[in-house]
Amino acid sequence: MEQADVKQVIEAVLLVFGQPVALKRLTELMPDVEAVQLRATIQSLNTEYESAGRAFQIQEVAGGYQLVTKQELAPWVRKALQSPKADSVSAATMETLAIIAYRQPITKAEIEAIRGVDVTASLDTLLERKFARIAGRKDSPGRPFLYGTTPEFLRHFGLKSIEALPPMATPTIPEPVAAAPAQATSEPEPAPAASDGS
Amino acid sequence: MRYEVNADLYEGPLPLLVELAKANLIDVFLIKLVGLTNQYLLRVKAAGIDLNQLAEPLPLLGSLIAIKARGLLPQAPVTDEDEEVPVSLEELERRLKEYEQFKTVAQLLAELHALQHQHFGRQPGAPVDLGPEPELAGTPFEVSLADLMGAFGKVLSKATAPVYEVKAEPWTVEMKVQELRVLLTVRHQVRFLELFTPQQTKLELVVTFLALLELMRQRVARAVQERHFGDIVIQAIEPATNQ
Repeated sequence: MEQADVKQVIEAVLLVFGQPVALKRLTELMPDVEAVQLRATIQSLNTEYESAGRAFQIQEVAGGYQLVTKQELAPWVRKALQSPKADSVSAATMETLAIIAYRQPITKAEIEAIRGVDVTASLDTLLERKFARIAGRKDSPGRPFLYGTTPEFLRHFGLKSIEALPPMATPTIPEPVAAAPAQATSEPEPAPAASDGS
Repeated sequence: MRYEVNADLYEGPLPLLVELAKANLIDVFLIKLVGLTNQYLLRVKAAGIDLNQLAEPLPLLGSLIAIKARGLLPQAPVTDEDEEVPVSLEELERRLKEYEQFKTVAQLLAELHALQHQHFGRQPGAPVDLGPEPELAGTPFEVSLADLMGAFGKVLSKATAPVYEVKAEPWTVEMKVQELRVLLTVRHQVRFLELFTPQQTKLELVVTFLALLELMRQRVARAVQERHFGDIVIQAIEPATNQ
């Protein structure tokens, strides 16, 4: 397959898809082209668009690639689409979403423990907008639902994957501090004995 | 009238006693409830007190008994199941810090969200939405009914879906039963073969046969034979012979 062909196939596929197209899908489409080459081609396409002053770019998002318009054109596109303003997410809902994103899978009770308020409404909003989904059930009394984020979330936040989330300021202490001393006094004792034996 | 009681330690109005017991100002265990209840029973038995006054001390005595009963039961250690157990200062601090962190990343996420919404991908089905219909040129005027009919005629002529005709059932078993009943009332007996003609459709033949079976089941008719291999004859069963 000629380089030009690969370029055009990628461009054509991305043009017609509304959703991000996974690299895997592109490799299935062109089995004789290496994934590395596909990535490189996508990059060179972006460079081409940029230097030619095109209105769009290829974005890597939600585990795939999608063709999107450039940021500067947002006011015009928005007007054309007759969507007066970007749909906003309330600060409270965003907090709930952040907790789910960084702590998934997580139960509602655990989210509420962090936020200190009832999160029913914001959780409903997130489920409705498909930013969050039920990811399973926790194996604890009552078998509560566990919540996680969706590809839709990644897409709407321009994230390649969940690993691409901005890092938290400091790593959180996994266990409550109060419980730590009790363990510290009880556990070290058998440890030296074991080391003596060996 | 105040309901006065006389216990070993206390002499006075009952409401006050209950209040004192509730406030733990008097030890209920030093009050003999038997004495109080006996006093009450005596008053009930004694004539001259109206019902209202008799009812009044009842809840008071009841609550007194409840207080004492509660005191007799072993007290469960006071633990709040909802982890409202004293939270250490460090723990509180940790939680607050954790929440602050999430608050910060939530703001970051909001920025990411706003940023991403500056980029537009292909809208699902959006290109079809061309906005409102263009305005009509010129002055619109009413269309006559004939024109409307003509327009609809064109629509109909273009219809491609096949039309199926569903016929109402021409014969039903009920109809045939009725027919046979009339026939048997008039003629009393009919040859089996007379009931059918070759010109009848198969459906009609079957329905007629079913009707005959139905009449036999209802014991209105019976099938008889003069001899073996002879003609089958359908006879009406007279109510008199039926009995």
